[in-house]
Amino acid sequence: MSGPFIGLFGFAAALVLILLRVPVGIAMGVVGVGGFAFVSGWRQTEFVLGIAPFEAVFPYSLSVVPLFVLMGAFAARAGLSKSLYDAVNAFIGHARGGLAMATIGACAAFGAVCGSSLATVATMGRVAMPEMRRHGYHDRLAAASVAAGGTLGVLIPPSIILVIYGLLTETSIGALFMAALIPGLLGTVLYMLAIFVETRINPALGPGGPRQDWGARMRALSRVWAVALLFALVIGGIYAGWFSPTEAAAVGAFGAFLFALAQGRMSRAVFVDSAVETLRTTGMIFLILIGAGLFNYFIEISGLPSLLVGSIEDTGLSPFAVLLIIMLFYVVLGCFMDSLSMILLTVPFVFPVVSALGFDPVWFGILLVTVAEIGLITPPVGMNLFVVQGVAPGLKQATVIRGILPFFAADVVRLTLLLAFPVITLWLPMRMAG
Amino acid sequence: MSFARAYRLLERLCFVTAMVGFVALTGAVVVTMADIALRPSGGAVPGVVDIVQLLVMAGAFLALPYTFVSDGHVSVDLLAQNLPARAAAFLRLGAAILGTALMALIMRYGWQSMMQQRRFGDVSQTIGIPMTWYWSPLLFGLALSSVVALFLVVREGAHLVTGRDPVVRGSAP
Repeated sequence: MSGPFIGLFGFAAALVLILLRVPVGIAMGVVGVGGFAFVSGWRQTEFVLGIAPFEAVFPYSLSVVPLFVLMGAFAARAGLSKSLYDAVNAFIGHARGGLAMATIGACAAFGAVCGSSLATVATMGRVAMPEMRRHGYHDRLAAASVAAGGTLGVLIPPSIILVIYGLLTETSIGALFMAALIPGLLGTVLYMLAIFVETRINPALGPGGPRQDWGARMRALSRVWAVALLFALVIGGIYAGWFSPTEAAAVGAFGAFLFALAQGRMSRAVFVDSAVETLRTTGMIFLILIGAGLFNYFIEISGLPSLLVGSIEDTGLSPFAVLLIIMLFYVVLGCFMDSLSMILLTVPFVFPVVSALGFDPVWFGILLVTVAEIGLITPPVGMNLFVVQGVAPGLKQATVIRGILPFFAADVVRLTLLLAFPVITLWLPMRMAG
Repeated sequence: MSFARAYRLLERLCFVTAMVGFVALTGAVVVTMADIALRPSGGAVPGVVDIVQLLVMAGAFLALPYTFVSDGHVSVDLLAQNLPARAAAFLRLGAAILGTALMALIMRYGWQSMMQQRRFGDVSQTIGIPMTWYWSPLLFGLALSSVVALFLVVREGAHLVTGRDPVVRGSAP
């Protein structure tokens, strides 16, 4: 059996183990060790077992991950979600579908200080779902806007997945953060447009509410200064070159903690709750990183990436056609796997192909995360669909899935725009680089 | 001591260990903030990168056993959720066996690497922290995770044989 074939078999074996409910990090690690031993023998595998896990978690740049998770955990409990929702609602809540649009806007803003899609859905769901239900919104639109809005947190910086992609592919995390800004905003606008169209066709889905005067709007706006300040410090600090991403994450975590304290929301229970969430998420990510480290050694030595590059060159397909096939592959895979695992499992052999075709790693990173976002709302394992169900009592999954279709369409439009016009993604990082 | 009681104690130990890890993560934030605060006056925390790396590694690996014991690792429930309880226990048993084996293997060969670095006197780049300090939380976290995974093997094995979970699920603090 040839090396690349063993690599391909290993990829399939990892997928099977994952579908059999083996934790993703363990599945990748076990297949990585087994595959490496099969290709290179046990003596070399002992060496890899001794160094790969340490190498996978030692880089300083990785410190950014738990610190951003901590920032998100504090932000989620600091009451930012309600203030954000009220602020956006004050401006557009009166329009037909306005509360759903406010949910999308608040999710985008919350994602800017949180970095986690699931936390965004869970937090905004608790705020927005009861409000939309109270105003007679159909569950289909209400739940889907929360689930879809939550995906914006994956792309809008700071994004944990972008950090992991940056570390895996040695791409600048600062450049990735800057590149994600405009596509994130584009996603926000397209989701709002989807709601606009949907409520034009079926006004009963999201009836309009009373209009707020400018005094109320300004008061609501004045309560979100903390989000603006945190975002300006964290992302503006990276853009201006004041902070490295790790420093920005520490500033963000400290700022979110201070804000929660100032709001009188940092009780002992809330602090422990934030700590537990940070620890569980960090442990989960680091185990996946260890598994991915072992898996990467195996995939590299199997020769699968080189074979893929060679085979694709032989097909005579244009680079863009290959990229489309890769995107389709990710959309399908995203239906069955969570985004972080999907990226860690596939980037070791997909990225060499993309690099060999001459595509910009920053642009590809944003495309990849956009597709991963789509995976969060596509059944059967779209995580956001489950989370929104968890925070809205009595909500049926079929209702959420039906409601998600217009948002899925908006995502496809966004992906098409990003593919057709790379400048949307690359303009800001190019300006940052001067 | 009953298995359920031993399991509870292990959960508690993992929680306390994780909280020590959280103190380390908080330390990483404080050290980084101090470094930033000293910058305008031309100062800096000596070896900030080395210290933050150490604190984050400690935080992450002391959290690892808690993630195991609280079932916090990412897994796909697509098939398992539709299976009868015993079949689902069988899948969890398989996952626990693989987890135990992987944790134990990494720990064993990681220990060898740490000993080798100790013999060579390897230290961090800026302020010369011994590399064994970085390895220690990693190996401790893996060792405790191995124990947790072993407990999970016994738990799921008992569940499979008796059809009854010997510990109430989802009870981690």
